[in-house]
Amino acid sequence: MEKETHMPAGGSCQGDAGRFLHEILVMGELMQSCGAEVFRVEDTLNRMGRAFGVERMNVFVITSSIVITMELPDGRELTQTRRIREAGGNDFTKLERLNVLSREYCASPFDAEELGRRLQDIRRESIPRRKRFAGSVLAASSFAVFFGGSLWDGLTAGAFAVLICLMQEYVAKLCLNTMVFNVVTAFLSGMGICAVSHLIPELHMDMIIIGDIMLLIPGIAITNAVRDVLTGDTISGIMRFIEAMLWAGCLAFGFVSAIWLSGRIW
Amino acid sequence: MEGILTTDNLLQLLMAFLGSAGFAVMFHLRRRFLLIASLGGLLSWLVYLLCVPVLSGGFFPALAASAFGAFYAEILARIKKAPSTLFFLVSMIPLIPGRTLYYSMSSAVDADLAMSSLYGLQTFQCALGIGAGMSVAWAICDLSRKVQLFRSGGRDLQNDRS
Repeated sequence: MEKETHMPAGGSCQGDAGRFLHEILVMGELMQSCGAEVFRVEDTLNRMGRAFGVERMNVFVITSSIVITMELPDGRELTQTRRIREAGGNDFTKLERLNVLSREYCASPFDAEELGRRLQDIRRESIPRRKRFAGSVLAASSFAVFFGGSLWDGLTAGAFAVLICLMQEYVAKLCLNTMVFNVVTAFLSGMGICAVSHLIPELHMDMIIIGDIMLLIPGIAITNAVRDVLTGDTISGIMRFIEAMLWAGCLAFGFVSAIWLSGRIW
Repeated sequence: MEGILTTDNLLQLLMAFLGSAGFAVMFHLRRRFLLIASLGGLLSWLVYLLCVPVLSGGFFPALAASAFGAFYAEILARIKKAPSTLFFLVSMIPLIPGRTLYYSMSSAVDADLAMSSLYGLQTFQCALGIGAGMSVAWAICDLSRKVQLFRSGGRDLQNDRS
């Protein structure tokens, strides 16, 4: 995103400013939902606005909302806001495609309808199920071994990663929010791991749990939060940080109660 | 240097690579970036291992490794013309303090609050180290970008923040 090129001649942008504004709000929302940082979203929207030909862009993004006011060359000002409810996941292919789209737009702006069409096209794409499962299994197994587990610990952690994926798919919808989901998932997989390692004493319960914790731990959310604060987006950073801490706390609570309970049963 | 390359550490490096690759697949990273991004995970863990005997505590090795990861991501982002986020998050994965977090929790279950808070503190130190490391790297990358811009004729610096 290092090159920003010529603006169209002044005044050429009145055409469909409202539609354009709507589309870049969609763009910002999509970027946030696939793991972009706040400063990246603000920067991209600013660039696109300048390429469109506005006098001045005022973009304000926090993790739960986007506010944009465009000052047009004819003196009008347009404002739209967008409330963002769902916490973003990570989808790097989407993020990269959005990046390419914004580069292309800034290099030679096209009309808002075309932009909208291409955004819809990107929105529709989702992470293939087998990739999510394969990735989770590989990650959980590797980290169980990474932190000192045996090969069998790794394989067991991989098996429980499948369970966690299934829960992310089916149980997440039933839960009130991410916090409840984290408690439920941590508790159920914790119980499962305790039971299996009770039956097969060769397995190391702690290593298996650590491997699977890596899948659930909001490490990336915390990293992003610290980064937001340090790059000047203090509000977003603090919001994300508190959210992530609550998730981590819920995770801990779920696993801790599973370990405690299984200690009493067996 | 030889002391670093024990079988244990080699296994860890291999697993750091595979684990990062797992997360990259989970996050739907394009296949053409997969190898190079996961290599970032391996390399930041190598930096961490190299720093542990030299720098004390949990904070500074994490700082060094995360600064390395951030530089690696910035450089790749410029070569591959893709957002640095992709490479940075994948390189950072092995540094996530999952183990100390777990021990902090399990000590709490055993009602050993002293150990629990010790591990909790280590977890926090590590998270802070990661944050500080990447900020250092970014400050330097940002500076180099501005120097480059200044040399190329000094367009408005304020608006260039990518």
